[in-house]
Amino acid sequence: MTELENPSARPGMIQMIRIQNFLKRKLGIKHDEIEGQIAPERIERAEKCIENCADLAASKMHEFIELVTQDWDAMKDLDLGEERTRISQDVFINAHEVHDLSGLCGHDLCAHFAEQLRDYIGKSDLSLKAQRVISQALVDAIQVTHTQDIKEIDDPRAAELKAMVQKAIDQYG
Amino acid sequence: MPVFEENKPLYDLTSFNILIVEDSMFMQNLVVAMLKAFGVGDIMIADSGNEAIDILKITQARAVSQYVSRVDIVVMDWLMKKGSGEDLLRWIRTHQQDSVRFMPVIVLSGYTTGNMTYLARDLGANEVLTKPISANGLASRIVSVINRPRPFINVADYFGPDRRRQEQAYNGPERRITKAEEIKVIRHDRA
Repeated sequence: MTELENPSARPGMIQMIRIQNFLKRKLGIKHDEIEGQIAPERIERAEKCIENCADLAASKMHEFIELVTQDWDAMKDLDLGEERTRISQDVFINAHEVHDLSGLCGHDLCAHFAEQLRDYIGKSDLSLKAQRVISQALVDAIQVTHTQDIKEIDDPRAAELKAMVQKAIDQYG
Repeated sequence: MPVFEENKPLYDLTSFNILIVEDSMFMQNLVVAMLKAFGVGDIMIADSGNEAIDILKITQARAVSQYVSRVDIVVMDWLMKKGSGEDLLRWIRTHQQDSVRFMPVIVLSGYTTGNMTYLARDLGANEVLTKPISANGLASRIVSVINRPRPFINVADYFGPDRRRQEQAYNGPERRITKAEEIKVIRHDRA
């Protein structure tokens, strides 16, 4: 085991530890200066894995949008308390899932609104009506992107949705 | 994006054991498929940071069984319900055992808002990859931890890989408390 100094014991102390490149040793490479790479055909194969799962990602995204909507409907009128905090965390996590999955299957606009919703819920306790209006606008925007299959962030309909969300933010934010 | 270079050897990753820490089953399956495509031999999965800790306690134990394969690289999500990536990374970098605290860690997250990237770096992540995931992105991070492992820095408020990736000449006023010759450099052979 490497004996590390306790940095708090000596102000300004810097200890630099040069580590033997154990990953290269494992690959049978004896000299650290030799740099290798992963074969391009292997990278292409991995990229195909992403392409092949796009349909499944879209279907999962749909499931998580449903969950976001259900949870949001269940929590929006609850008083502050444990139950509300728990559901709010679920909305946060599920919006995060929607963001990840929609990014994978090319639903960039949905990813954009899901990210906005997740971050808004993450920094607000949604105790004020105004906060709930903004969140509702984001949930609605996510649903519309899905039901109307609006994928691209520069789709003309995307501008309308963004304007709707912005209006809620301007009015209640 | 990695560019293929004729003169560089191709890595055969069959001897590698990579631990994926991810709570979404969909993402678990996808990352496993991608790592298999890269040729990684052993892949372990943890559903949460807490489960990853349990796995690492076994795989990185000092006297491991010949049937237990040590983890070489951790690929972790950041936002998870039971034990976040932040907690796991903190646990790894503050661990007493070399085979844990020097572990290469790649953070893979869609939660890049605010200071997450800086926080991951300041907690000692080797690499951060933002979702949506791409094969080139993941390959380049794995190759980076193999090709260019940065030395570890131990100071009062940080333990992890050197956060400076470039060696550039600095012509400004000297602000360092510690002179270069006072930096203690030790060599470490991971047990």
